[in-house]
Amino acid sequence: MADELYSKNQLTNPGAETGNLTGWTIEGVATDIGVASGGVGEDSNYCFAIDSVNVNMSQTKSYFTAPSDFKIAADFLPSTDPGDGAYQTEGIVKLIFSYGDGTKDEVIFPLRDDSGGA
Amino acid sequence: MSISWVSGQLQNLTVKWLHVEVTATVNQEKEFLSAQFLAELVESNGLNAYFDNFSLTKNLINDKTLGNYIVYLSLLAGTTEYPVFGALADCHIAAAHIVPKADITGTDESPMQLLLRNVDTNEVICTKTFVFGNNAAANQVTSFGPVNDTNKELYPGNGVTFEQSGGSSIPDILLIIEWNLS
Repeated sequence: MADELYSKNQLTNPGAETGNLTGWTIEGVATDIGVASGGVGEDSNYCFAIDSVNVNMSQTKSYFTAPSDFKIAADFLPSTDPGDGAYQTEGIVKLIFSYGDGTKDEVIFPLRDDSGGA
Repeated sequence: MSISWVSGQLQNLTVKWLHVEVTATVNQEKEFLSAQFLAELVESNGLNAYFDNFSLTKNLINDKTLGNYIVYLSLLAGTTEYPVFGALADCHIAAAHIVPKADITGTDESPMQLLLRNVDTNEVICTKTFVFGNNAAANQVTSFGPVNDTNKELYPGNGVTFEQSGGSSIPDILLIIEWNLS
């Protein structure tokens, strides 16, 4: 079906498989973000590790034509306090669209585990 | 929006990760410029959190129906290749044109060719040759020669390059490629 046609992944180094942060723009305290061993998928040797709210990682892509929509996806591993789970980490993935009139749309997707794990 | 648990690793331990997939709609009433993909923590409590397999894919339906593609290129002297187009759906190249910023004047002693090449077959789709008396005027559309019937078909993932062969340096060029869906 034509409306199911999506592009390949637009992101560079989307799974940290270079072993570093190549392709990503880091804003904030750069030492609070890095790469760890592990990840999701048989071929995944690395993943991204973030340990503070003082840093973010992003990539910006420009386009000739406006797509009707984007699909985004991510795998997230929250760290929780091994005791009572009170100290949970929460992440977000955000997609920011910029338009010619200077306005922006922000679409924010929260990533947290309220279930206590699976 | 879809959320699921997936099995993964962290430092050689098997753990469950959250996998999230969502769709974000672009406002079609405005001129779209760019999309920024961003990840961060909003609560850390001094602990690490981990991300993997980020993905950003765009819906190609608008690219398919637009039916043309325009890029602004600056070619250097000699043979230079630029990847300019990746096929989004089954289609065939219908025509190619250039709009140079300054006159292009060919000479018999130093002829110049501009080529649109099918990367996957490494064969030429269409050609424009500049020799004496065969010029391209500034700010006007000059079409390439006929499209080669054999090499015009493109399939998803295929691409074409725009190449200069021979001649002196040429000005900035606006390249226009027209295609039709198969």
